[in-house]
Amino acid sequence: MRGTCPSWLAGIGGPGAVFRSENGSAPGNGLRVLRPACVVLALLAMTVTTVSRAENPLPENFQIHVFAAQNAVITSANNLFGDTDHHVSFDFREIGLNGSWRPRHDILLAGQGTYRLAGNTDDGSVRLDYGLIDYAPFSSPEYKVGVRGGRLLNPLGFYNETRDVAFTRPSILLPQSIYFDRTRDLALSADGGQLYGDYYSNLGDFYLQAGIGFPRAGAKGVEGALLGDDFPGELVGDLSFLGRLLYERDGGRLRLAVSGALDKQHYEPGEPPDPLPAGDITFFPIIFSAQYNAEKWSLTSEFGPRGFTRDGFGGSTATTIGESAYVEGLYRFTPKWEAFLRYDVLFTDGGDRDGKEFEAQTGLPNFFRFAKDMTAGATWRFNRWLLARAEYHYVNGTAWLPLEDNTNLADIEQYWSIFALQIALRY
Amino acid sequence: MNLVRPARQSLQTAARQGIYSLVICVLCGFAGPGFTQEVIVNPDISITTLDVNTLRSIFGMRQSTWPDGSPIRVYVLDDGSDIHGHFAKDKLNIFPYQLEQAWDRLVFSGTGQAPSRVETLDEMRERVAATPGAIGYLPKDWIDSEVVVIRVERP
Repeated sequence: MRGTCPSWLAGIGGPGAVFRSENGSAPGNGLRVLRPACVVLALLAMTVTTVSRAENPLPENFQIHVFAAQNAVITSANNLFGDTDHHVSFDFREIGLNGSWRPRHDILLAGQGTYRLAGNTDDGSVRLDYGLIDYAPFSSPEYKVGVRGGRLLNPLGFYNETRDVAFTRPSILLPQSIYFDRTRDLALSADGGQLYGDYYSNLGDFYLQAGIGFPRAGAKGVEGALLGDDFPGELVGDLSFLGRLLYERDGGRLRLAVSGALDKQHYEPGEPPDPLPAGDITFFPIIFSAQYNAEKWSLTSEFGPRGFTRDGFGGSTATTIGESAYVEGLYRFTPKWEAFLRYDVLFTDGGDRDGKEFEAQTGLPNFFRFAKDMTAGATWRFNRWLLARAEYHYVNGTAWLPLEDNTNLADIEQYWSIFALQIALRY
Repeated sequence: MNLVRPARQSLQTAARQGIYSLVICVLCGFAGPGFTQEVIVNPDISITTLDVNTLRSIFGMRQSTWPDGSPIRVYVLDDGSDIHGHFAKDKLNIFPYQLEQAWDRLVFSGTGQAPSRVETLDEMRERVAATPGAIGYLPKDWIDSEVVVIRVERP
């Protein structure tokens, strides 16, 4: 069944004019796909050890890096990146390969291809996450100014640019209120240009990035997340803007950032009969980020309003301001062992935090409009290229739950927990 | 033969004592005189001092050129090594995990490159001595005339 619905998904990227309740394809069999994943990981591990022991055959200004992660997920209710409801699913894994080359000291060429499978939300295709040329004509001990062009990563918050690389984040799942995995490709990178300036001073280092470009609205899963289904027409990225100012004191002891975006796309209906009329979607989040890093512990928080406007689609213009925030404390017992606690909250509509108005308007459960996630986890960094993680989430609400894995809305439960394990490699 | 064995044993004892004192140093968070690191550069570098902020942005792979415009080549020991840990904490006033995170962010966002890693102190000395624009670090006892020591200024 398809039908228009008053923005019940509106929020971070889970907004939408239309919802779906038709049955999706059956989720993959965890054990069947585990075997190739193990083989891939084992081969990667062997390559990594061999390469790291051999003399590096590449010139010093050319670098190749690899990362991979295989996750096992089980939930007490609701499916997350696979058939996880009371089953262990292995349908959540990523492998990436990136290369960079500095032919001259002021020019850098870099690119990354990624394979990603995440239940029914990502199909395991290989895609170009970024491919760029960076030219920094002005560089001194005090400052650096340059431009980048191509497919560029979006500098949003602390983690967006490296969200897939397990080693760069504290947990298996990033705080979903901000790093919404449903719209991963859209959030990750855009095609365009960026101006950047670094300023290094005794007060600290300042990094400014300002970008202009076209979002990857046509990427897998984006239409599903933004419109609620894959419609006959096409979602097209419009000229969008994005920027971040990052301040680091004492080499990153204190890190503060503010980032924002004005992300636009429009829907071009396909051949009739397309049930969805043309419309525009504008997403304008602001993220405030703060982190303090001591030797044994780190304290991190990110929060901000997330605006979402839907215009057209056969209805009137609707603007919703969502709210997202998390606080996280991480403790390093030794350089190899660390553990964290986090509280992460998302309200799809700040004006209707408990979702009661939404429930009255749509007849759908109010808990579709918020998610309060309490997480505890631990990481074992075995060495520079291998880590293992475990984490537990207790979640009240389903505002960020991917619907691709939960096609029968009646089965979605308000209180649920997630247990996940991860093995990750990088070289 | 018999003369060699005691010598070897005393060498082993000395090595063991060295490890113990290293462990004690790590536990106390104190770098003893034997573990004092010096910043070293290739002899073609004309500067003799660097302030700690500049040094941090060089080893953080943010600053890629020397004041004369020539490219900087950064050499580091493995992240897990105690010498690397002491260097990061004592010379850069930064924790080793922060350096590693900073490199990862550059490498995996396509905005920069990682430093070149060396396995041993000998390799560190040889690479810095042989590579124009090179910078690295060594314990005092390992420094010879093929590399130049840089004085680190603190604000």
